Amino acid sequence: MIEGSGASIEFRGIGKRYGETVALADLDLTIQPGEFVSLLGPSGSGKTTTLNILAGLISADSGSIMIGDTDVTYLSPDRRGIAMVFQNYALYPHMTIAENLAFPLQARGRNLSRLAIKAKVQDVADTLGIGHLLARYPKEISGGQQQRVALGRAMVRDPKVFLLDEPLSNLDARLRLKMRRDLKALHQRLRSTIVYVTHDQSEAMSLSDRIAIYQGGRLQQCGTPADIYRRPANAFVANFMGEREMNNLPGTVVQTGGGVVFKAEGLDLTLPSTLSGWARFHDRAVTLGIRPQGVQIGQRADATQCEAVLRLVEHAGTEQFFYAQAGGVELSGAAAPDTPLAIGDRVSLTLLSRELYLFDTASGAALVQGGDLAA
Amino acid sequence: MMDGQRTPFQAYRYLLPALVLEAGFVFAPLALSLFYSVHRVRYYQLGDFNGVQNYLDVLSHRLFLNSFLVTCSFSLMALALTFAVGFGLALFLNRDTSGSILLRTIVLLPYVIAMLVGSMLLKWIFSTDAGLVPLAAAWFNITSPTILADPDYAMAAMVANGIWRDSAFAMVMLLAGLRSIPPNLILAARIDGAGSFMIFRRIMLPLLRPAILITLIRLLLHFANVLTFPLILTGGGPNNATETLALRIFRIGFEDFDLGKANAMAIVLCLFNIVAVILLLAVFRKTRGGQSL
Ligand SMILES: Nc1ncnc2c1ncn2[C@@H]1O[C@H](COP(=O)(O)OP(=O)(O)O)[C@@H](O)[C@H]1O
Ligand SMILES: [Mg+2]
Repeated sequence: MIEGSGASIEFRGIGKRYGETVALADLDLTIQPGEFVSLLGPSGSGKTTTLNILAGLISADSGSIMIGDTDVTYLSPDRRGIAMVFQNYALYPHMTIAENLAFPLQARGRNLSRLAIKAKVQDVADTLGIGHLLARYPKEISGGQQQRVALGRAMVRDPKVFLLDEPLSNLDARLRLKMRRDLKALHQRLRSTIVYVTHDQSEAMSLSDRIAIYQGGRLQQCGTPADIYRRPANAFVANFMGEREMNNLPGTVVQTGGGVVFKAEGLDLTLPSTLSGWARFHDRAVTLGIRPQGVQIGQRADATQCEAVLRLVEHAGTEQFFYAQAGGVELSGAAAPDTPLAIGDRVSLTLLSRELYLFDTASGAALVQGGDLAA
Repeated sequence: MMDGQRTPFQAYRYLLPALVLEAGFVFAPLALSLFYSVHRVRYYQLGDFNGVQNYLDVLSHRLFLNSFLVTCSFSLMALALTFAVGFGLALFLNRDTSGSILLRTIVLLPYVIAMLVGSMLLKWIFSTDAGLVPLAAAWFNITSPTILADPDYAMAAMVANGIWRDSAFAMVMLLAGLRSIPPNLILAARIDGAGSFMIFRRIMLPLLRPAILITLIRLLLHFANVLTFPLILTGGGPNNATETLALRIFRIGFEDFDLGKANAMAIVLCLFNIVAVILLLAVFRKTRGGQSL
C-alpha cells in the first residue's frame, strides 16, 4: 500500500443491534493508511451503520475501533480526525457556500484568524471549481455543485480520514461518472484514507483500492475489485458484482460413463475433461453459476455445450443480451451486437469453462471455479 | 388547464370558499364595528351619526392611558416569559422517551382546559383565605402579601396566568420547528467540531426563525387582546392596575352599554395590534445579522 497522509482504521469485533435486527455482526476490517475502501452492499446491509460507528455518531454494542494508533471507541466525533459527506449533503441551508465551508474551521480552530479562514476557504473552493459560488446559498446551486461544497466542507480541515455515505446517489448518471473521476483524482492528490459507502457495484469497482461487500449486517468478503469479481467467496458476492446477475442453476454433479455431468432441471451439461475434478462434489446439492458474458452462441471444442431456444433479446449498445430456454432452465447470455438473433431461433450455446463457478447450495459458499488452474 | 381558457372567473371560483369565510368572519364584523363606532349606540339602540366623537371620548378618558400602558406592560412581560418558558420546555422535551411524552402531555393540560376555568382555578390558588400560594408561603414562615389586592402582585399573577396557560402553546409550535430541522445537519455540525452551544446558535436558532416568528406573533396578538385573564382573575383591579384595553372595551360595552364607544375602542385596539406586529417584525429583522466571514 502507498503510504500517505491518511490514517489507518481498524474495526475489531464491532457489533450493533436494534432490538431484534442485527445491523452489524462482528465486523473485523483493517484499512491501510491512504487506502480507498468501498463498503458495498444492498440497502439495509449495515454500511451506514459501519460508517456512523466509525464517525462516532452511534456507539457500537461490542468491539473497538482504532484510527491510527488511537483507540477511538469512546471518543466524540469531533475528536476522531474524520470528516464526513452525507448522502443528502447536509449543507447548512441558511449559510452561504463560503459560510458552509468556513464552519468547520470556525468550530474547531478558534485560534484561526478571519483572513486565514478566508484564504483556506478560497483555496478549497478553487480546488473543487466552486470558487465563483461562494456568495450563493445552497438552494441556489445545482446538485453537482452542492455535492462539491459538501466535499469541500469535509476537505477544509485536512482530515486524515474521509467518510462518504453514498455521495453520488442523488446525481444523474452522466454527472455521477464525472464526479467519480474527480473523486479518484482528488484521492490521488490528497492521499487521505477514504471510506466510501455505495450500493452501486460499478462505482465501487471503478473507485476503490479494495471493496468490502456486505449482506445482512455481515461482511462477506474484502478484497481488490478484480479479486472480488473473479474470486467471489460466495454466491451472494458473485451475483452482486457485475452489471447483471449470474445464471444460477441448482443441481448435482454426477460421474457417468461419458464423463462428469452437471444435472440441472431438465438439462444435462457434460463438463469438459479439464473440469473432471469437479466429480468430488457429487455428494451435495450445488449451484452452477455463470455470468451472462460466459454464455455464448456457437460451438467450441472442449467446453460445456447445450441446445436452446431464444426467448428474448435486448440490445445494450456494445453488446446484445439474450435469454434462452435450455431444458427446464433459462440461461442469459451475451453476443456481439451484429449477431443476427431472432426470438424462436434454435441455437447452440457454449458455457465458457473459465466463467463457471460451483457453489454449495445450502451455504452459498464458493466450492470451485473454472478459472482455477488447480481445478 | 390544457386549453389555456383560464379566466379570472375560474380563479375566483377556487378562492371563493376562503373569501366567503373571510368576508363573514373578518370583513363584516370589522365593517359593522366601524359603522357603530361613528354612531351613538346606547343600550343596543342605534342613534345618530356622530363622527369621531366616540373616538375623542374614549381616547381622552382618564383611564385610557392607564389601560394602554397596562396592556403594553402585560403583553411584553407575558410575551417574553411565556416564550422563554415555552422554548425551554421545547428544548427539554424534544426527545421521544416515554418520560418526555408524558411530560409534554402534562404541560399541555393548562392549554386544553377552558381559559375561564383555568383563570378561576388560579384565582382560587392566589386567593387570600384558602389559596395554595399563601398556604405554601405560611409553611415557609413567609407572611404572604394579599396577592390580588396588591397592584404589582396582581399584574404578576396575570402574567403568571399567561405563562401557565400559553407556554404550552409556545412549546408545541417550537417543538414542531425543532422537529423540522433535518437531524443530519446537527450530526454534520458535530462532526465539523461544533459544540452544543455553537450548534444551538449557528444551526438551530437560525433554522427556527420562522417558527419563532410565528410563535411570537401569535402570542403577542393573544396577550394584547386577552379578556379572560383580567376579567376573571383580577377583575381589572386593584384600582384598575390590571385593566387592559380589552377589559375596558368589555366594560364600556357591557357594563355602561355604550356600544358606540366600545366599538371605537375596539378599532383603536385593532390598530394597536397592527402597530405591535409591525414593531415586532422590525425588531425581528434586526436580529438576523448574517454570519459573514
Ligand atoms: N435507528 C435505527 N433503528 C432501528 N433499526 C435501524 C436503525 N438504523 C438502522 N437500522 C437497521 O439496521 C440495518 C442496517 O441499516 P444501515 O446500516 O442503514 O443499512 P445500509 O446503509 O447498508 O442501507 C437495517 O436493517 C436497518 O433497518
Ligand atoms: Mg445507508
